[in-house]
Amino acid sequence: MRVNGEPVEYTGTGKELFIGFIVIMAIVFLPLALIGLGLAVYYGPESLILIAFQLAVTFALITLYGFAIYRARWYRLSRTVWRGIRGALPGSALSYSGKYFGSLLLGPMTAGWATPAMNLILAEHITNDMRFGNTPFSFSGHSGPLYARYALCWFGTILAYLAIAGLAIALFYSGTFNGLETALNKLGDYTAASDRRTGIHVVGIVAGLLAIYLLYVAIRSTIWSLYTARELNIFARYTRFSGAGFEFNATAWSLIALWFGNIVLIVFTLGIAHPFVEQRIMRYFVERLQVVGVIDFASIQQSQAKLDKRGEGLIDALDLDAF
Amino acid sequence: MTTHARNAEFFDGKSAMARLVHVEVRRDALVITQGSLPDIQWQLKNIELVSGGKPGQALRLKLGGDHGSRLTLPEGATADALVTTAPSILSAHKRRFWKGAGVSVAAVLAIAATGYATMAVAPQALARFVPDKVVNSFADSLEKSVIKSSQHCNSPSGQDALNKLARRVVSGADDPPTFSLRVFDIRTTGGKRLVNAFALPGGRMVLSAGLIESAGGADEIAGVMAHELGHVAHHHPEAAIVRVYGWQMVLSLFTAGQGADMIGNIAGVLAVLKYCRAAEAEADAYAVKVLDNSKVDPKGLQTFFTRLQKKKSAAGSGKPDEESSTLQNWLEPFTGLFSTHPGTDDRIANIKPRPGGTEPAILSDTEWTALKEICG
Repeated sequence: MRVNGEPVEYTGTGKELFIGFIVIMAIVFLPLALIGLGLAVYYGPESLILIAFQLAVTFALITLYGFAIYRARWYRLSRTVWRGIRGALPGSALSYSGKYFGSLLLGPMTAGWATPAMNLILAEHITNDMRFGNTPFSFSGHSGPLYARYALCWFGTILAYLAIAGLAIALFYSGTFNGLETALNKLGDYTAASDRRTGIHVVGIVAGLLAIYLLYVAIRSTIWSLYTARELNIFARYTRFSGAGFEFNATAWSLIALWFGNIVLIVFTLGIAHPFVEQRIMRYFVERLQVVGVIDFASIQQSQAKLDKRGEGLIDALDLDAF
Repeated sequence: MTTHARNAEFFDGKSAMARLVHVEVRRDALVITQGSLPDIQWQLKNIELVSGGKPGQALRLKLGGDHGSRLTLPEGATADALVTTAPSILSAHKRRFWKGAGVSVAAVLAIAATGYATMAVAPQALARFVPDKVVNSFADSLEKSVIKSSQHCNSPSGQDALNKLARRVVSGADDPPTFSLRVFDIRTTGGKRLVNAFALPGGRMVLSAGLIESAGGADEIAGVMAHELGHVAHHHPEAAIVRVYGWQMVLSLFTAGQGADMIGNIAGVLAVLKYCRAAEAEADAYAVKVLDNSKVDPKGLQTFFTRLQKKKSAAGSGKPDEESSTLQNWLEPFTGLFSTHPGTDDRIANIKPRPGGTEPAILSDTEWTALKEICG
């Protein structure tokens, strides 16, 4: 992978990622799981104390999402070498985490309409913190140009939702689901001498419901890739580095192809192809990103920030991704 | 200083500026000459390959331990000279890759093995520490899902016979656990009587009316009861509870707490009530010992197993059996304590008859008839 003719090197190692994973498991998740287990065993599985504990843990983990995203970007940048120089993200993960949590709250409260503005604030925060060597990136712009596309996708999603819901309701009244309840009862029934037909019936209905859901997910993803492409392109244009600007050439279809390919890779290899997925994503970004203008390479010096030997544990534990 | 043709690109790791340099391969070092700047020497033994090295590719090199400086040698005489002088640069790159892959696989296997060992050993070790409250709430919900609205069979004379049988079995146990023993007429939805026995958490043993009906004598029922008592004495049902919570915990570990709502799922509990082979062997050993102490011929247990086995192989021989449907066959390994068990053959073979048989008989003929008619 090359940017402006020079290869981009990723020097992160599995060992570092593994240590990060172990550390986060040992100091965060294992104690939480043990406490949860203890509460469940002592107070019973449906006790209020256990439910309160689970809610508190869920809340705490949500507030950590932003933190994890920031730390993952920090790790990846510190392990990316281009022209002999490392990237860096020396800012505070905690203040980013606060903004991220705010965006999680504002999103649903505004029925999603705060999303472009919040995404811009988050991108602005993290990009302004980014360094290549000792030289900072900068980000400035407004979320205004995002809203026309956002509105299109928002109303498109509503339409898709109504169409799918209509389909489901039509199927319901056509009697397709009749017998589902009794069939399901028989399935869970330990002594049930249910016949082969019942099994096929249940499997058929479940498969049908799954198909409807997948159809909805596919339509929804297609619609929103229009917005994502727009956002990527605009955010690239808002970014500057050492006197140069950026152009990004994302299109809805290329994003769909990327996502679809990744999902197929993950599903059909049971996740073993994860490294290839990462590579596909990296390649997508590198191939479509263009530096506009001249970067004064002589002025860029190696950053003196120390390297931490741990990887992106929290991001893996929370199953998030910075891209 | 002589001037040399510039044959390589160099980044010094301090600045992002590319420098065109001359590289010369010596016996144990690479000498990088960069115009008016002082020469740089890279010891050959410290050089690592970053990428390239295949035909048509430039060699991209770095110094081991150094995070910045990079040297790109295009294909040509200098690159060839380097590979000839220090072939280990290429082989070490491959070795590092395979070492990394090997360590990763080993780490994954080690974690999986540790996890498996923990799940196999820990539940049994923790079983006796599960509080009564939890044991009882589990037993209640399990009982509900297994027994449902089945008739509780307790005709006075039948119950007396059952108690007598239980007392005889328990007389052979050194330190008998607390238990209860009840008979329920558990049926399939087709109305067929189920042949089974359970040890639910908290020492609640349940025999099905079908089991009593199909038994050829009190010895057989005593054998089954002793086997179930073995599960109770070894805390196997409580271990199953810990196992359920353990899997729940693992699940919530890897889904960041979102898998916890599965707690209380009875299907999951049923799935783990299928004991492992070691637990079955333990219960069998206990049964044989207890039966022997109480002067009951363990042959009864053997007879019962054999009959069950025959029934199973008949059902499995492709005979269309309407009442044992496909769906039930799927569920069967999870639902029966005597069901399709790979070790059943060994278990049967390992039981030796007691010389002299059962003496005296456990139940009189009248009591046996009463037990057979416990459901009224």
